[in-house]
Amino acid sequence: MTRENLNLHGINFLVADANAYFCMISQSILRSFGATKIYEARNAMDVRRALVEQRIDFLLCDSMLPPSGGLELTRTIRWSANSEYRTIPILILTSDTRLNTIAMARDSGANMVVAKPVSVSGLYNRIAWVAFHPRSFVDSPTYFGPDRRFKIEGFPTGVGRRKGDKEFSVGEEDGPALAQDDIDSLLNLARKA
Amino acid sequence: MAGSGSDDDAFVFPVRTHFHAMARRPGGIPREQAIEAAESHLHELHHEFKEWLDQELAEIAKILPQSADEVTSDDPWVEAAHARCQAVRDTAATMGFYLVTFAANNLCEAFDTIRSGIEYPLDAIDRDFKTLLLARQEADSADRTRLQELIRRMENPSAALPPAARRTPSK
Repeated sequence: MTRENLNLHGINFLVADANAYFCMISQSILRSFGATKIYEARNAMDVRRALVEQRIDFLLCDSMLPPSGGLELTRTIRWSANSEYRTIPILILTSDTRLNTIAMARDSGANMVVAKPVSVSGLYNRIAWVAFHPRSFVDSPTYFGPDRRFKIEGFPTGVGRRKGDKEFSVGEEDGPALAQDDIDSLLNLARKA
Repeated sequence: MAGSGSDDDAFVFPVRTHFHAMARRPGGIPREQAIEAAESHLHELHHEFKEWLDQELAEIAKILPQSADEVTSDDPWVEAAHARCQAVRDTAATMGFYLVTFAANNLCEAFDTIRSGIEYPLDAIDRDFKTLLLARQEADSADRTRLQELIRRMENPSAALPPAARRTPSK
């Protein structure tokens, strides 16, 4: 299995976190990965300003970003119908790993949710996943964002797989696809359980 | 963007952004090399991290009340202290300061308990904060093996006792 390299040179990253020190650490890590253009934001207003003034390619956003949180910001970006950033890759970083919070982050339209503390290899793997496994987007009356019907079965190109992990394959479709409303109601039921 | 609707309400379409095109270009840094470089870079930041950590601990010390019997979720300082402890825990873990992470996590759990509506003794928070201060001191001097030993002891305090002193469950 070949291992493709991430080429982050020239990609514009925006790291949005109220914690300036964490932003600095994230910058260091991204630069070591080969990123050359990294912007910082301390709150949602900074993010909006950066999106207007720069061409941002990838957003790393803390779930607690002031004033309303990174999930609200993600939702706003996804629901801005005429925005060029509507499909921008968004990686949510969160210290709150309760199932409900992770589910809300996914439902806000984030490409990936990463639990803090972030490890160097964990961050690399998530960015690689977004780069090498782009997901289709779903546009429905209740949701806009990456298709939520996916499961990580090892990381792209074999990275991060353990010895015991089995190969997987996706079966042929053998029935009608679920409607978005059905998916929403199933997710709501699971959340209430 | 070409697309295909899966039903009347939802439209599913492939997305290839500028990021995807750029990140998949030939070249780039091999994964192992990138991770090693990042870890090495973080190691160089240890001195700065300790300065930041000292500032955060000083702020937490200012936030914690001097006297109270019980702490409740209504206390206005709880959210601020919780946020700072989370930042310490998360950043210390990324930087490789595992004892600080462990001690900060104990405080975070205490604040989580308070936030869930359960009263909590201030003494216990004070003790956990002192543990965090001790963990900070260890960060200056202890080697990795010593830190791992300390973490093991804190996670399982009874293991550090002589066998005769360990309580065995009654049948």
